[in-house]
Amino acid sequence: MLRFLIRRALGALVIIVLLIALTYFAFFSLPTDPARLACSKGCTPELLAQIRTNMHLNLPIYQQFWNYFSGLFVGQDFGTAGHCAAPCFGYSYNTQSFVWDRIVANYPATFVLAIGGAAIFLTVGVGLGMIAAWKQGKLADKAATAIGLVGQSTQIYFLGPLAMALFVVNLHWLPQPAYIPWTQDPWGCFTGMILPWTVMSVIFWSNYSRQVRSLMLEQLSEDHIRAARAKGMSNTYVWWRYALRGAMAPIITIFGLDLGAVFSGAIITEVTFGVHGLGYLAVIAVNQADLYLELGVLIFSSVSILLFNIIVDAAYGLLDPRVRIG
Amino acid sequence: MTTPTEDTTETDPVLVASATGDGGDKPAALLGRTPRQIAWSRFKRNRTGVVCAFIVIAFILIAILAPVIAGLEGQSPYIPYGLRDPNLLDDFGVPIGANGGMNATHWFGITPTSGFDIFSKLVYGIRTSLGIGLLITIVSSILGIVIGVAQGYLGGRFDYLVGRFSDLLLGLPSQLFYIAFTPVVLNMFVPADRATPVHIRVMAIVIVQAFLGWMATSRLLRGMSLSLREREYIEAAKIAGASSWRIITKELMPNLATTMLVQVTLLLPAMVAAEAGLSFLGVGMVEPTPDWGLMFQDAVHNYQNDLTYLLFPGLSLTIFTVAFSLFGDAVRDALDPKTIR
Repeated sequence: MLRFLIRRALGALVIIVLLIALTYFAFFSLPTDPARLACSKGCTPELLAQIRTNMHLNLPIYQQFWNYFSGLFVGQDFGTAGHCAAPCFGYSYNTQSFVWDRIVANYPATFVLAIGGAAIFLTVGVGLGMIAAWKQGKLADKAATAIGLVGQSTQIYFLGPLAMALFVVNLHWLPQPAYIPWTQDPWGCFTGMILPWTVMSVIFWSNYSRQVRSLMLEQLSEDHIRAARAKGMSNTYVWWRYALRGAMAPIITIFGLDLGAVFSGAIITEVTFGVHGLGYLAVIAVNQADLYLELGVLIFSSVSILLFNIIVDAAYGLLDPRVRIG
Repeated sequence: MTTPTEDTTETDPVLVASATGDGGDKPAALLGRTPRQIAWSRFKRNRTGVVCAFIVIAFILIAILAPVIAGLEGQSPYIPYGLRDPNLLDDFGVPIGANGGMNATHWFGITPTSGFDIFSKLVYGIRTSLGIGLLITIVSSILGIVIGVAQGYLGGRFDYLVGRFSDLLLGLPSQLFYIAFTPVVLNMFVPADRATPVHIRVMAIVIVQAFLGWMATSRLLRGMSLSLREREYIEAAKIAGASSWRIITKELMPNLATTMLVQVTLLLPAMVAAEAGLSFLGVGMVEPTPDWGLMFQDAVHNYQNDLTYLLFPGLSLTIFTVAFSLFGDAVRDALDPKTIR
């Protein structure tokens, strides 16, 4: 197990280094002038020259890359913009701040969004799947499938405003969705995030309910279930302790992957609801052509996804003894 | 008749009975039917599938006939009517009249602020969204098919390297990469300070989405062709001296056709939604091109005072996606009875 994890981690490390290099060269070797992009309003030739020196744009590209790459570990100096401490993802000129600080400032919102949304889509998805398996072929089964299908087919940018119009504007049940740090105001955080959580989770329902349904049906026809029934165990006990447990292992894999995806920024949800998380930051960076900020968000998100994948693999090994040997 | 090959024993007797309409009580005369006919008759019996097929065809027809349909209404998607006629919008830029200014001239009302005609925008928008979605689907499917079959058939080091590469791409936060790299690709073709022509913009979107979207197809086809490669008929073709090219095109591909078709029906609605999502985020198409994503973007800013604007693209996209998914399910069931879930 440990060897497997170490091998996975080393592989991920190689991928991360490759990724940083590829995205860096894609962004900075283009026939665009990053200094001009960074120097937007009231740009004078002197200011442009200064930005160019600060961003080290006069150096050859491979040296620029080395500066950036080493800056991730030991920090980097940005001329008059000041020194950027250890995990240095560069300097964002549009907002006059270091990229790392902005990522740190926006990450809690994404984190809270991901945790809450994941909790909802796991519960609802597995619940729908269980109902469908329980009432197999009956009306409830079809209803669960239909809910999943429609949920999967709606778009967050359609459902989100509809929900806001209903619950915020018309009924006044909830405040305008926004991220309030939960350390400040836990209840405000909950009411501000409940709509983004729910709406984001809708598109995930169908995948889980479908998987859980077929896995449960598969499990219920297995021999050990029949043996348990023959022993006289109650139906509920068999369902929850035997069938669901057997069905959960593949679900955990999908869940881990989805969780990684939402942790790296649920872009459309964040933009629709105005939650200032990582995805929101990425969109701002792209629209303002803020290259360092874009690069920082991309690298940060990719690393967190890769980390998640490793964790998922480890968790899978712990849950399912059959895969532990490999 | 007695040698049971997998396909014929499962389906033929039932179908022969139903085709002759004798209720199956006496052995019907054997009818020769091609797999395509069997699939078609199976598809026709799936009522949901047929209804959804009509809806999908309707969307495609609307996309093709957009100028004619918008011409029926007599409005253009490019004209800001609200700015021309002060009677259409009030001082806050909100359409005057019920339901976002719906009336006989503007069937679905007009947009806030500028007063574009929603009906014509919606109709032309199908063209953009569906067209780009289709292009992405075609390009990424071809990429996925070629790469997947090559991987499965050639195997060895090529398979390993390409497999690692697709793992790498699959492990990335794809949405972030879409939005980050669309401008990058755009910049490759057009310098940042010049206006981008529409077709270049479309091309950039297609390139980025296709590049990040072929992996699911290639994985599926790799697995399929890996198992098919070991079948006897491939071996027979090899012994008969057929070239790799011939084996791939004449022996492998026809057996993969079903999988490919199913994969395409799964990809298309996802890609249409992805295109709309990109434009919604501001990195896809831009004004004045009529596009669903842009309508969402505009409508979301105005949902508090004009919800009807949002409903039209929203419901259209939802109906299209639901119909296409169900249609895809029906196609899959018709082509391969073993995959019924």
